[in-house]
This record gives sequence, structure tokens and C-alpha cells, in this order.
Amino acid sequence: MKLGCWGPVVKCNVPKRGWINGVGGCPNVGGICIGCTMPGFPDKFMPFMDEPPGARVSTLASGLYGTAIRSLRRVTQKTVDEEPRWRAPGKELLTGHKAGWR
Amino acid sequence: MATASKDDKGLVEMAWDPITRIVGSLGIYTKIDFGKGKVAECHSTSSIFRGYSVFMKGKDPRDAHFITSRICGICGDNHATCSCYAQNMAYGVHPPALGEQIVNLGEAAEYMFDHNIFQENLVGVDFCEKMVAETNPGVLERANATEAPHAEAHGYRTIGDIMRSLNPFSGEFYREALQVSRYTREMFCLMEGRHVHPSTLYPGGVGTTATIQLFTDYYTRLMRYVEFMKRVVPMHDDLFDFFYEALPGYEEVGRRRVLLGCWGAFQDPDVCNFEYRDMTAWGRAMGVTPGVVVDGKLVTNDLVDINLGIRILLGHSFYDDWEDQEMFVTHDPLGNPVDRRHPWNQHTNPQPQKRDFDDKYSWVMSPRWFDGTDHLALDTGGGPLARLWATALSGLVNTDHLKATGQSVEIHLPKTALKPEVTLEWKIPQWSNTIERDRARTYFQAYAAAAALDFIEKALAEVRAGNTKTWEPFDVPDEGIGCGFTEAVRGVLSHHMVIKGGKIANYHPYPPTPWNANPRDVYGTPGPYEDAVIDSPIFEENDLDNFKGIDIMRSVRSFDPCLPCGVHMFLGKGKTLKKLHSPTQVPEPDLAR
Repeated sequence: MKLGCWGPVVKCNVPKRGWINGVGGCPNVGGICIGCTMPGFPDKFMPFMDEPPGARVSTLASGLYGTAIRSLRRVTQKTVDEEPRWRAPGKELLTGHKAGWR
Repeated sequence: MATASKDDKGLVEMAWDPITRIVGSLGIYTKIDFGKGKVAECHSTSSIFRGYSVFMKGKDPRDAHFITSRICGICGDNHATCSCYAQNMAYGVHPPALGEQIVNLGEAAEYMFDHNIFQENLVGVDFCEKMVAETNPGVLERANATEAPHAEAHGYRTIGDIMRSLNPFSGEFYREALQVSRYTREMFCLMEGRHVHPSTLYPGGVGTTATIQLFTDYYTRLMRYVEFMKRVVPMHDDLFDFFYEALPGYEEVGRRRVLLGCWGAFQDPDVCNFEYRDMTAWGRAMGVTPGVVVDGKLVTNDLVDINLGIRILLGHSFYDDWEDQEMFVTHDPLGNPVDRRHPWNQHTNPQPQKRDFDDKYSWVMSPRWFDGTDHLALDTGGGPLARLWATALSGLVNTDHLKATGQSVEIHLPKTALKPEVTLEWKIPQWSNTIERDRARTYFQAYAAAAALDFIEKALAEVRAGNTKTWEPFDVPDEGIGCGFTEAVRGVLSHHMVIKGGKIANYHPYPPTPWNANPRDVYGTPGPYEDAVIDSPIFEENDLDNFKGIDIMRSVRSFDPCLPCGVHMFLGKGKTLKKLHSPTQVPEPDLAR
């Protein structure tokens, strides 16, 4: 499956409310969007399994944008994944806290 | 909507058009001999033309499952699945095991959902206290005095209590079944995104994101259903056995010669490669064994034989013949000749006209299965009867939870929250009649749950082993043919596709209701509904003025009819039955005239 489906432009609340009791809904489970809530469905949206027209530009743009943002996120992710220096196994207290009663 | 009139021979014409509690385009027109208490004549008609085979031409083959799914708002996913099977064959693509298991889990959820809602919320109404009180007050009295043999398993002391629990909207079991239909639908949506038009099914596999969490969400709901089935199966056994006992001769209602077809369901990814030349082997490995059963004997369980035997006959349908038109496929990939009347070579030439029971009277064509000498009018037994019968006789299914013994199917259900392990056994019945079609449905619900237990274990094993890929890339060939066989909820389903120049040149889906609801064919053989209703005895206690036709309605509904992929009751020209068999039991205006 190529990136780029009708999902981002189609007006449909299924991704938000799911299909039944909040469960399911096309993109929530990994399905493609074929524009079934839109006027002109189905003929206007066929063939369903090809990219929509213009998708090459937007896919390229979001691909570039995504690659840049992803590398920045990795930096943040690395820092949030690290244990803080003061949180290590052992009896020694590394937080710098000085208990007044000891 | 029912209407009645009397002719000079003392036959009363009755027609139910449209039949309610199904999608309304099916009409059953009968002549009833009230003197003998029998149905003398029956015609099944459909007033709707679909045209899928017409507008599928020239479309991109990859769109086929998305479009054919829209054939039905009840079993659309069966169409999507079947279409993907046909496409897999045409493209020569073999989906990964996990992808196949996800499709199997989705289909199992569909059987659990649809059989449940149809059996308990639609068929159950024909057997509920209110209905029986109106049609057979004597039977209800007896039911109230009859202890239920399996009361311990289901909690209802008498048969009358079971009937009361089935009363629409007020009955306790009726309402519980509605809840069950909610969570089984969730199970389906977990696997395929949307019910009934799946968004994750594609040729080559599925788009579903396969995680442990996904399967756990399915598993918890499945175990609730398994527990539910441990009560439902004994309860229906009690109810149906009671009808045989209370109304001696009830086995003749809706009885028909045993002519059953099942095209098989649930692919085994270890065996199934979707190649036509290996179809015999992977057909026999299916979770529900395909087969044609005639007079209680298995004629074949070879999908290639089944495929080549399909014939589409005209005779009393609103279509012109295609004798002189193009043949798309003269030989199958194994070199066997393919008949002109096979779906691969069929053309659809609609010819609308006035309905005339002596000439043409239905939009349904007459599918038949040619055994070498006869064009057999196979029925699907509402789906489950044929599936269990073919599976039992073949004796090929043997899993942790299911075993086909040759005379029966054993269903082992594991321990659940409140109930211990239970083994249910469906035995091949003596007849193919109304009650046995309904009983098989209940057992098949348990069968689908037990099958899902196997699929989920296998799917989890794949995920734990790291095999999380769910699809395989493919290319659409310029020329190709494909066929898909599965079971829609109410019976056999086949899709036949021919690709030319990268586009669909011919596409013919054959869902179950055309097999069941078809009119007399060119040789005069009546369709299964007609056949089952003709000569069926009438047990209803009401006279002509209050006649509801409950025995006929039970027979037709036992087939699980759905026609946009349907039969009308009408008591003749003069009189119109005032009351509708409306599940809401709210009086509705008289619309027949």
C-alpha cells in the first residue's frame, strides 16, 4: 500500500467515534479510506487502491517534513528515555536532598 | 404483508409480499388447500434487479471487493472476503499466515454475530409466546406444562418460559441476544475495521495492525460468547424438540429432499496457496469442509468439481439468454472444459416485464449444480445445515476444539468464567426441514466460536514469533481468471472473475439466496423455497379469516432469506390480512391495496 489515501481530506467522523462502541473504524485498525461518506462515491474515488491525484506532491512534502520532525523527536525521545542521574539503584541518595534530622 | 382470496376449487390463494423481518423484496405466493391443511402451490419472486455483473465490467479488478461488499448490508464482508479469494487466485498472490488468520477471525465473528441476531431476534419471534398464543394456543398451554429437559444448563424451567424469554423487546433472552450482537460486532470491527464493509481486506492480505492487544480484545469477547453458547444450544434443543413432540408430523413442515451445497469456509494458510490447480487440496483443508450432499450422501468435497458443476439456468427469470454471446473461459487452468452456462461465461441481459406466474416472474436466475446427469436445485439449508452436514460426512476437520466424526460434529468448548468444559455434538438429522435448519444454526454458532479459538491461538503464535507481516505485494495481470469460494452467513457464496486488458471483463457473484429463492428453471424444477413450501402441512389453528401463515413463514425464514441478494405472502386478490408479522408488534396501516 502506498502512503497517501483519501483520509486526510474526507469529512467523516468514524476515526473519532470508531465503528461500534468506539471499537474499529477504518484508519484506527489499519484500513485505507475510500471516501465512502463523500459525494460522488464510489466512482469518483476509484480505483481505491491507487494514490489520490496530487498525492505525489503532498506525500513527498509530508515525507520530507516527517523525516525532519522525526529526527528532532528522536533527540527528545532519547533524553526522556534516559534514567535521571539521581535515580540509580543502591542506598546512596543522589538527589542532593539534605535531611535536617540526620 | 399478507393477502387472501378463494378460487372455485376451494383453494385459497395467500401471498406474503414483502416478507417481513428480512430485507423486503422477497414475495411468496401460495395456494393453500384448507380442506387438506396443505400448501398446494407456491411461487417465490423477487422484485429487485441488482446489476452488479453489469456495472462491474471495465472496472479495476483491485476494486472488486470494495464494490461487491456493497451487494449486501448484512453479509457484505463475506462478499469482500470471497472477492479477495478470487483476486488472490487471479493475481497469483499468497497472503502471509497471519493475514489469513485475521480474515478467518473476522469471518468467524461475522457468523457469530449474524446467526445470533437472526436466530434470536428474528427467527425466535416465530417461536415466541406471543406468536404461539396467536397461532397455536393449544401448543402454548402444553408448553407451559412441559418441563425443559436441560433447565439446569439454561435456567428456564418450562418450554413456556423459553417462549416468553423470546418475546420481542419484553423477553429477557431476546434482549440479552441484542447485547451479544453488539460485542460480536465489536469483534468483527477489531479484525476488519468496519462491519459490514471491511476496510482492511485486500487481495494479498489485510491492513490490520496485528498486536497482542488486538487479539486480547477479541479473545475476552470470544470467551463471553463461548459461555453464552453453553446456554443457548441446550435451550434451542429443548424448544425445537418440543415442537416435534407437541405437533406430531411437524418434521414435514418445510421438508425437502436432502440437496445441500456448501462451498467451505476458513482457509488454512499452511495449505492454501490460492492456486487453481491445488484447489482440491486446499479446499479439503478448509475449516468448514465444502461439499455437495444428496439424499444424505456426500457426492463430492472437491472444489474443482463443485466449480465446474455450477450452471446458471433461466426459464422463469426476467432475462434474455446468452447462447450466442462470447465465451470467456473455455477451459479451466487444469484443462477441464467449462460450460457456457458457468458463471465465468455468463452474460446478464435484463428484460423487465410484467410478472406472470405461468411465464417469467422473478429477477432471480436459477443456479443449479450439474452432477453429470441432473441439474440439482441445491439449497443451503440456511447455511449451517449444509455446512455441518458436509463437514460431518467428510470427516476431515480435526482441531483442538472441533472434530468431524463421519456422522456428527463434536464441538469442545473450554472452561469459561461460570461454566465448566462442555462438549456439544451435532448429529446428522433425519430430515432437511424447517426445525433442523434452525437447530443447525444454533450449533454452528458454537462451531464458529470453537473455530475462532483455534485461529486466535495460531494468530497469537505468529505475533509472538515476530511474524507480524500481514500482506504480500502483487501485480495485476493483463489477462487472468479467478474464482473464490466461501460461505456467506446464509450459505454458499462464489465469485467468478475474468480479467482482460487489466480490467474486469466478466464478474459474477453467486450469493446464497439466489440458490434458495430462485424460480422454476427451464426444466420446470422449482426453486428450494417453492419446493419446501409446496405440500407442506399447515399446523396453525386459525381459520382463513385469522390465518397468519406461521408454518410457511417459519419455513421461509429457516432458510435465512435475504433478498436484495428475497419471497412475498399474499392471501390472493380480494382479502388482505390486516395484521403484519411485525417484530415491534405495533399495528401498522393496511398497505396491501
